[in-house]
Amino acid sequence: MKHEKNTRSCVPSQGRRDFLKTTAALGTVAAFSGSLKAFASSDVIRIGYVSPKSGPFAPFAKADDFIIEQVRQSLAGGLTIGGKHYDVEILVRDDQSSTDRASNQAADLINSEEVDLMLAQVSIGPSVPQQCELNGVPCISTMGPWEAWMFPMGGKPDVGFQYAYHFFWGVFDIARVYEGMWSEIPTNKKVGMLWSNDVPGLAMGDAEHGMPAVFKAAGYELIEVGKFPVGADDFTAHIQAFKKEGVDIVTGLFNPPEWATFVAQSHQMDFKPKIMTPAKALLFPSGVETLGQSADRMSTEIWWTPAYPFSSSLTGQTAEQLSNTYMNQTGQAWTQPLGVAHALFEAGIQALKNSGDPKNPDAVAEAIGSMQVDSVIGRLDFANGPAKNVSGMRVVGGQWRIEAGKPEIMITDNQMAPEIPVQRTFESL
Amino acid sequence: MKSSKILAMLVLLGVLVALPWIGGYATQRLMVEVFTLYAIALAWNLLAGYGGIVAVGQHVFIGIGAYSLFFLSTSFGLNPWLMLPAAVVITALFALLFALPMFRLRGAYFAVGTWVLAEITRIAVLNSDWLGAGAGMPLSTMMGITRWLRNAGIYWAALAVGVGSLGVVWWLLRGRLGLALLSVRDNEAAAAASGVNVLRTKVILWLVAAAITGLAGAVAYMNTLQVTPSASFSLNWTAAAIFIAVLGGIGTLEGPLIGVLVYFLLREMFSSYGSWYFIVLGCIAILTMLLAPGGAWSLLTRRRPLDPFGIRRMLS
Repeated sequence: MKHEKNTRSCVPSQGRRDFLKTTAALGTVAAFSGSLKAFASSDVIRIGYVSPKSGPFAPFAKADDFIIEQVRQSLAGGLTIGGKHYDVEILVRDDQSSTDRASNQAADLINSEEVDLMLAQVSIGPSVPQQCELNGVPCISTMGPWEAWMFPMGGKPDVGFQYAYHFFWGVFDIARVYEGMWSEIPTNKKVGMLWSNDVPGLAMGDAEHGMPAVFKAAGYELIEVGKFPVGADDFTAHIQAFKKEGVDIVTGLFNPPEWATFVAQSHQMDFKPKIMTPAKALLFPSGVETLGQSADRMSTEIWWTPAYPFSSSLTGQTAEQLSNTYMNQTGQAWTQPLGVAHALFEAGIQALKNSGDPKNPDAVAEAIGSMQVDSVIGRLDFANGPAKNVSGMRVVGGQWRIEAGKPEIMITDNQMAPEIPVQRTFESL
Repeated sequence: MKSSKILAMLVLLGVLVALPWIGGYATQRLMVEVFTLYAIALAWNLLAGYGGIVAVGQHVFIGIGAYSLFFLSTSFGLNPWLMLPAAVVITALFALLFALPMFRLRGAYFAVGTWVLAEITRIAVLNSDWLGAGAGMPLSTMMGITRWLRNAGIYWAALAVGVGSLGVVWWLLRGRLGLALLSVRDNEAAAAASGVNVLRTKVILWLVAAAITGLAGAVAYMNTLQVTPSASFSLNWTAAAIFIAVLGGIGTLEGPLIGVLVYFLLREMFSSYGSWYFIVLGCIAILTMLLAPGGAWSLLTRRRPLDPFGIRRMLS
């Protein structure tokens, strides 16, 4: 129709009215061809990524620069989805370990940058997925027990969310791993617990839905002297109580500096438990190094090591190759979040591919919901997770060994993931 | 007021009200921050610049206001906008309760006392399981509301807070209380001797400042959707308010207005420089106090006296 109009108005010597018609028609054609041109050129998929690059939770994001560089390289040629070519842009933001800032950064990525997919670390709390859920942007997050993601957002395990997805182990999984390690040596079954007063600490230390419930069911006696605030530097009251009760096992959730303080004060007060299994504090080699020889035989959960028998769907690297490349390029020791953060990008890219239409948030969200991806940390399965919108993730138990001054973590318990080989038997401190 | 002035103000107000139809979500969010921080700075300026009361712990009201809104709305499934008046009332009651011990203190002791109050409240909230303890609370009642309406609604609430707080303060300062305040600020003994009830004047000021700050805090956290003790009871709020008031001009109604514009201009342009941004911000505040203690507004009015709000008083 437009074509017809166009040819007719090309006939010369017309009145003013026709002249206007011509311009209008030409204008339409011009506008149309303009949009056609835009259509033909490659669209851009924008991925937002929020993580704690600075602040007390920074160890979780230490490998970020390396991972993002690798992902950018592997996506340099863009992605072809549904027969259409897209360039991929990754926008990285630092939340400075603050929940307020995470919210604002997420909102900025959503509203100003109009990202198509959000990836986030939620070790401090689920601020980013919350913004995504309300603003209709698909989001995948990790780095926190799924209970510490779902319940603070007011979600229910059988209902889930529309746009927010998460993968990680659950509180019960890690509790079973701990309990499995402890049962390997004889103790008096008295456990002293210290949970931090923050999102993950409250989820893991919850009497009903947290780790204490599993320990209690396994016949352990639990001793607790209140939650401690993040950044606490005095644990004498806790240690006193543990000594009085004759505690053999210490567990809880710590940041590395808090754990270092606890260990130093335990030495001073001559408190010598048989087992020390803090969560989070011993994930990072830097945190272990500051403890020196006293870290020997301290135990913790393991989410990923170079010994995992999996490889990346993005770069094809095995777990070992990934950690070796990281160590070669950065000169730093590998950390557990390296594998998990890499898997976060694997999941994100896979979701975009599966969606068929990466610019449509509902299609992407739906694709995540039914997605299975074989990543460098093993298979992620969002369709058959422990709760709606959640994929589980492997967690095993391990013990740090300091040999010749060099710390190394050894897998000692694999009951939650039998395909990951045990490297050593569990020993008392 | 001249009719042209009224017309200009109405046009400006009209444009601001229509912003959700003109600007995008990002603009609206930024304006929410601008209006709420403006109200908080205005309240700090009201206390310090007009009442001579320096409150370093003003951020306690932000936390109280935000938590009141989140607790009522999330626990009982009530519309968050309808809970805003409740947040104001609860913050004012909280301020009234603590006015008794606080106003037994003076000057620097009062300043530190308010800080202690804020810190005690933060720790109390941090250990209250019914408020979510260290994890804080979400605003889950926002779930069913469309994106457009939520953003626009929060923006309009923030606009009302900004314009409303200016109106309240303006009305307060023009009346008897305004005169009483000036006399109290300049010389308490003389004011008392002239028949001004000093304590009553100060307490009213304290309550108004608390109510404005509590409301602004509640609206600011509607934007964030999650309130936590460490963020909402953070000294950063008061620090920003002081910076804005000092930069714009303490003891003027125009000061916070200019201060907030400068503050956000600096933030939008330089905040990517990380720690250096804060260092420069601090230096600017120090330089202002040394070179132009009256703030930016005093520089503007040095040559030519301006009084757009008509609240200055001249002895004749």
